[in-house]
Amino acid sequence: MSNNKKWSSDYPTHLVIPPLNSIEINKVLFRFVINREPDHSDFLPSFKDPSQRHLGRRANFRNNPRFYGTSFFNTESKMKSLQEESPEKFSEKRIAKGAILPKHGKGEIGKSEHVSMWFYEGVYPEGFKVI
Amino acid sequence: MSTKEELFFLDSPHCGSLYYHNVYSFYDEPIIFTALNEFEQLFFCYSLGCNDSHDRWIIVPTSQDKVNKLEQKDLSIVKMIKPSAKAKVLLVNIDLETFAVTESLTQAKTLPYKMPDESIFIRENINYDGKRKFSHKVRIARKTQTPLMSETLNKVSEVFIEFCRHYLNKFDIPVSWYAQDAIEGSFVYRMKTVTKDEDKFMTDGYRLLSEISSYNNFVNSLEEREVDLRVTRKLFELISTNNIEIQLIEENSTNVILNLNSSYIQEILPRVDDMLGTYLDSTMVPQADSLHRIQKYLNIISEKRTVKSGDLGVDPRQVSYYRDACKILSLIHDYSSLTPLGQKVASSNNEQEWIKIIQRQFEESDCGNLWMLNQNVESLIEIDEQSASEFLIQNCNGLSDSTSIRRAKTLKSWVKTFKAISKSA
Repeated sequence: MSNNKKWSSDYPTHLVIPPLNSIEINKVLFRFVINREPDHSDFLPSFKDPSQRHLGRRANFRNNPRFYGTSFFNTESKMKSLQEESPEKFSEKRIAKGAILPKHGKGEIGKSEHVSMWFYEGVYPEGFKVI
Repeated sequence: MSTKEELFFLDSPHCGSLYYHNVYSFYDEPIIFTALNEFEQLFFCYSLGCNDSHDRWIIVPTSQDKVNKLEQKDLSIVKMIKPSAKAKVLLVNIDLETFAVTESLTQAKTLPYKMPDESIFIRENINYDGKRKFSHKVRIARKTQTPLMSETLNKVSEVFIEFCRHYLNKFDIPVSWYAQDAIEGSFVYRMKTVTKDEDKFMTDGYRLLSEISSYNNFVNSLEEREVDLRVTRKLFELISTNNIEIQLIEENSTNVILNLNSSYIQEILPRVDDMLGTYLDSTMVPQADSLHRIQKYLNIISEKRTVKSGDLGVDPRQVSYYRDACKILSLIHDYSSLTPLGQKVASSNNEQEWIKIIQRQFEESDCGNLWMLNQNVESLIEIDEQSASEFLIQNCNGLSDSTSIRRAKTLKSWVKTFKAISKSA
């Protein structure tokens, strides 16, 4: 994992990414992953994730910095709620837990326990474990 | 407010252009939500996630009535998708490469997908399009089948909001509550709250209100004199005699912030009654130093005139203080006309007579009576007027020390007059 603290050169130029109000995060967070041993492919930002990048067709995603970040949640119970509400959508997904640290990038704590993270170029949070 | 472009979800051949309305679940994008088309028709949209080639959705035309039930947690998520055995739903596939949309109508009961359990209801409700004008709901329910009198319904909702407002005010969280509308077919009022510090209301305010539902926390609040006991008693009486349950619900989170039901009320009511006997708050303490001005106030009322500050020789703010003092002494009614005793004081030319009436009225008021009990005397003539400040500081809800000292001036002044009149008799 490199740690050059540069932002992705793929970010669009018409948006400020990460947003100016984003902050360094030092928290244990949760995310749905595919792999039993999560790797970089489990932490792709939405605009690079094969199952989500089509959303960029819509202006509300394309023009939203969060589309260029990776989603996490604050609690395991929130993840379980999502699975209960949408068992088909998350049937192939596993809940992973791990630490997000300032060295990974910057984030924005949003509503409904959601945290958006923008990782430095070539960086993803190693050490996430499926629970 | 978001633009139409920002709210756009999908161009559906069957449903038209769909725009996000209320979102119930979010993961990278809204995944369970209601959408409106260009004709304001409602659709329930449910994500099935992506397979290798398509982003898959279920879309069900729905009604405001059903959405209300979903949002009140009377209808589970799966019941929105499969409302009946014969119902058909629209399966929408969005090609991940070409973004082409294909749709097919399918019988809901044969859907080959994992569906949420029947016990799963929405857990949040975020309005996206700014069309929602309310922030909270007040829901009133009754266990028995007997019909609820409309005046009881009106009274309980009015007193419930008064109770919440008073309670939050004690903690310096002033909130204004505006009724927006009611949900047809239910006793659910939709309210908009307005407060200067939204964050404080949503954190400290919600925590304080939710703690009322806990016996120990609420008893502690009672003991700390953080509660307006008279409003509390009024509300609890309505809930317990009518076997009512009343809830305050926050719309975004769908959380019940405060839940009061008759069994909880019956448990806590004896404690409220115990404390009510010695309860005093600022509205029960007069703030009108001159008894002669009180008589003047009553004179003006008896002449069917409006009391003006110039008539009383006080600044305009003090006119209401004299009106309140007359109410505390039961000399005028709530609607500001004279009681029979008020008439007697107004028309009396005998100072001894009318001041004696006021003394007796004050002795029988909550404030006068508690002060006498506190000082262990039978009459205000026997009381040490210097005890007034300490009595108010120790016993009066919602008065700061400095305000207690100011109010004590009235009590001291009255007692001095009572004593002087008594001596001259």
